[in-house]
Amino acid sequence: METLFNYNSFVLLVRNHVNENRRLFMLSIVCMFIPAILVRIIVHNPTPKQLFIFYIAFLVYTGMIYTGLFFKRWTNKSRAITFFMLPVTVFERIAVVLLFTIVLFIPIFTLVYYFSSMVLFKISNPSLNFSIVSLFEGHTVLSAFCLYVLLPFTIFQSFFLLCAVWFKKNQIFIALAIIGLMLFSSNFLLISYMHSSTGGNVFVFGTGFNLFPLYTSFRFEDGIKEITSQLISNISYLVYGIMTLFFYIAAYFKLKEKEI
Amino acid sequence: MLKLICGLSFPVEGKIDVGSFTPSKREVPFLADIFFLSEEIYIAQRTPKEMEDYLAPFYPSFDKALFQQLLNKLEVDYAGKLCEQSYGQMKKAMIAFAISCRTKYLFLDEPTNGLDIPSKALFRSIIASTYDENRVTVISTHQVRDLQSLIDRVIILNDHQIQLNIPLDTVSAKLTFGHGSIIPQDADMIYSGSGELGKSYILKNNGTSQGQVDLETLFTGFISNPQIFQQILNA
Repeated sequence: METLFNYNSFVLLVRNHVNENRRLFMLSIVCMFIPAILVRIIVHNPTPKQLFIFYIAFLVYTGMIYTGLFFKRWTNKSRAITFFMLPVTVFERIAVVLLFTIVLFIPIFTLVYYFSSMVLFKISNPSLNFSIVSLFEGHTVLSAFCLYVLLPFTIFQSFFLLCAVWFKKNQIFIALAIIGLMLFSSNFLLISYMHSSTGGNVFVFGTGFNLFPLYTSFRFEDGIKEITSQLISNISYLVYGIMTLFFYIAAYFKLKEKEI
Repeated sequence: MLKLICGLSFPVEGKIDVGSFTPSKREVPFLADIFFLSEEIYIAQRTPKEMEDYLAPFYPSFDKALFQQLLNKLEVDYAGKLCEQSYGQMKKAMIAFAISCRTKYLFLDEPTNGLDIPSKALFRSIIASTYDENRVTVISTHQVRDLQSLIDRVIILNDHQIQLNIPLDTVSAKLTFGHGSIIPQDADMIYSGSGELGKSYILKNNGTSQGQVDLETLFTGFISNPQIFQQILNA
């Protein structure tokens, strides 16, 4: 275990990272106020559900960009040499990445987003309800967080991590292009399939604040009847979870073999 | 080659061992005992003091007193902001840090690039004064004149092969180097050539004197006719 993870080295690496990236942290926190301003411009009186949809979308997008910026050091040769010559394990390096891009990023973004939203919206509409608890009825706080926040965030973030390690240049654009292509083609194929199997009446249904369960279709001739089962939706969670793990593990092994 | 030795690149064929370590595995004890100062330097820390506070703890043998002593010698401000200083000052700070880490293996890639003439002389004296037979210092440079006085062994790499590996004393004992506007007619002449700075030549030394070795001329001459040089130097 000592050869994989040493707490003292990890702490040194975190200290060093904080010292190196103080400006980036400050800039990131300032940038986190932008989503709430954009939401204020787009929607004047948002419902808690709308606020949450924007929250998830911005969390994922800003998280991807933040992760991309985090790995900027690996594209610069002299920075990369300094980084790779530090006597720490690959696991410790990945742990620092996860600490800053997930463990710290999500709570800080959430706090800044909801705080700035509250300030912006309460001024114009003091009666606005910010309660999002009702959106997750039937879930514990942990399961709601894992399914609706952590999973959507980490699948994209882990893919960005893998691209950042894999490619030498333009990682952000390559990752965005691949994600865009995959989302488009998978949804296109799925809708086409559902279209053919349901005889033309397809309504691809998502719960709005959830990025994944797009895979429910309805047959209108028989009244509104769900064709695909809840099981498919649950399987998609499982598949995304496995993919996320796979991306992290692949990034770990690719980092071990990364050449400068 | 330095990158291969440091584990930053991996060999396509064959195997590299540094002591008991395989560099490509990038094990922590190996990385803690090696310091590679690349030609293009990057310093994330704002001051040499921050380098000491945040980077030095990664190197167990780091010598704080030596670091401050070298900074003083190289005239780098311990608490001064490096981003506001010249490239040469940053390089000097990094050289001081690299030497102070006291790692078993120290690799310096073009360390004198960006240094002014007095700093180059200081660098030579620092390298000579911190010499330790238990440590290995490898300096890769195109500016051989800058470091000629430090070199005790000449290795010529050509066509992916080590074609010459010999002490400098042996070279000076067996070859005589000369410069001038006229190349003398001599039966012992083994190489002569013209450059921008005049003519240079190499004679076979018959044991009469032991002069200074001109590494640039040696390299040029050796590449032009390796067999004759190998024959003389390995005799």
